[in-house]
Amino acid sequence: MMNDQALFEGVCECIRTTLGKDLPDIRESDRFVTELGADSLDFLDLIFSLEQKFNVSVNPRDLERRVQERLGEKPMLVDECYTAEAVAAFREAMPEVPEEELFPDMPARQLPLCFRVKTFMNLIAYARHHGENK
Amino acid sequence: MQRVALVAGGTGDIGQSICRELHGAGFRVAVGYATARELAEALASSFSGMSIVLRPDEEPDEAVRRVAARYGRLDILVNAAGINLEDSAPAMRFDDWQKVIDTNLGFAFRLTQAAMPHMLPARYGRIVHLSSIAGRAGGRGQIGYAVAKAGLERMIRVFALEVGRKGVTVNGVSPGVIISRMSKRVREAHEKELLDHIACRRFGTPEEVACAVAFLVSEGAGYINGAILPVDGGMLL
Repeated sequence: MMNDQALFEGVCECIRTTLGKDLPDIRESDRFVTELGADSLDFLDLIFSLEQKFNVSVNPRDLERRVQERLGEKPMLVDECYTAEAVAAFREAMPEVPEEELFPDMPARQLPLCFRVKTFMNLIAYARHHGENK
Repeated sequence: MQRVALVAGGTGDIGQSICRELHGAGFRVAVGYATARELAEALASSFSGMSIVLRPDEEPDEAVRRVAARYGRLDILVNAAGINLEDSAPAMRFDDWQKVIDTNLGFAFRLTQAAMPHMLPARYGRIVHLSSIAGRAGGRGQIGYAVAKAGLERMIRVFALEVGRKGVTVNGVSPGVIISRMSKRVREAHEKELLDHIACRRFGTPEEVACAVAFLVSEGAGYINGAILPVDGGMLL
C-alpha cells in the first residue's frame, strides 16, 4: 500500500511533467490552477497523467457524484450554481479547501479552480479504496 | 519502438490505402470500421494488425482505449470516416443534414477528444483528419458535407492551437476529386467540367492521399501543426 508521502511525490512528479516546470517546493495546499500556473488543458492533462501513473480512474466528477448521493433527490445545482446544501457537502468532501472558497451559489465551472494538490491525492486514494481501476 | 496508428474509416477506398501506407512506413495499424467487418479483418490480418469497430453514432472512447491497451500506446490517429448525402440545399431533409454533420464533424470531434488521454501524457501525438475540397469551394448538392468539412478544418486549427504545446499535432488532408466509390457519381456526371478545373488534368488516387497522410504523421512532420494539405492536383489555383 502506497503511503501519503509516496502518493504526494507521485502527484508532484505528474504536476511537474504536466506543467514542464521544476517546481521544487510544491505543497499539498497549493492550488493547481491559480498558484501553480495551470490552465484547463493542464488540468485535463494532469488527470490523464495521474490515471496512467496510478492505474486508477481519476474523475473530478466523482466529487459531484458523491455530493449528489448525499443530497438524495434534492438538487445539487440551480442555474449551473451549487445550492447551499451542496456547498455544505462539498466542504465536508474537500476539507483541504478553505471554506470561503466554496460558497453558496458558486458556479459549478469554478470548482476546479479550488483543487489543491491534496485534492488530487484524495481523488486517487478514494479511487484506490473503492477499486476504481482504469 | 514501433509507433501505433488507428485509422477510423479504414475500410473506405482512401482509408484502406492509408492503412497499407502506414503499415509500409513501419507503424502498427489498427483498422477502424463502421460496418465492413470482414473487409477490416482481412485488411488487418494482411499486416498482422487489429480491426476494431468504430461507429460514428457511438462513443469512440472505449474503442480507442482498446487499441491503446492492446499495443501499450497510441501515437497516431487518422480519421478517414465520412459520409455524403446529396440534395439541393432547399430540398435537403434535416435528418440527412444532421447525419452528415454528426458523422463528418461530431464524430471527428469526439474521436479527437478520445485520443487525448493517450497522447497528452505521452507528450506525443499525430492526428490527421480527412477533409475535402468541398470544405473550401463548391459543394453544390452537398450542403451538409461542405459545411461539415469547413467546420472540420476550423476544428483542426483550434485543436492544433491548444494541444500543440503538449507535443500533439493536428492537421488535415484535403483531397480533391479522388478515384473512389464515394466520388463515382460526380466523376461520371461531370468528368470534363471537373478535369478542366484541375491543373494536373487527371483525378487523384487513394494512394496519393495516403502518401500525404503518411508524411503528416511522420516524425519529420513534427513542426507542421494546424495545416490543411490539399491533395487536389491544383484544383483551386
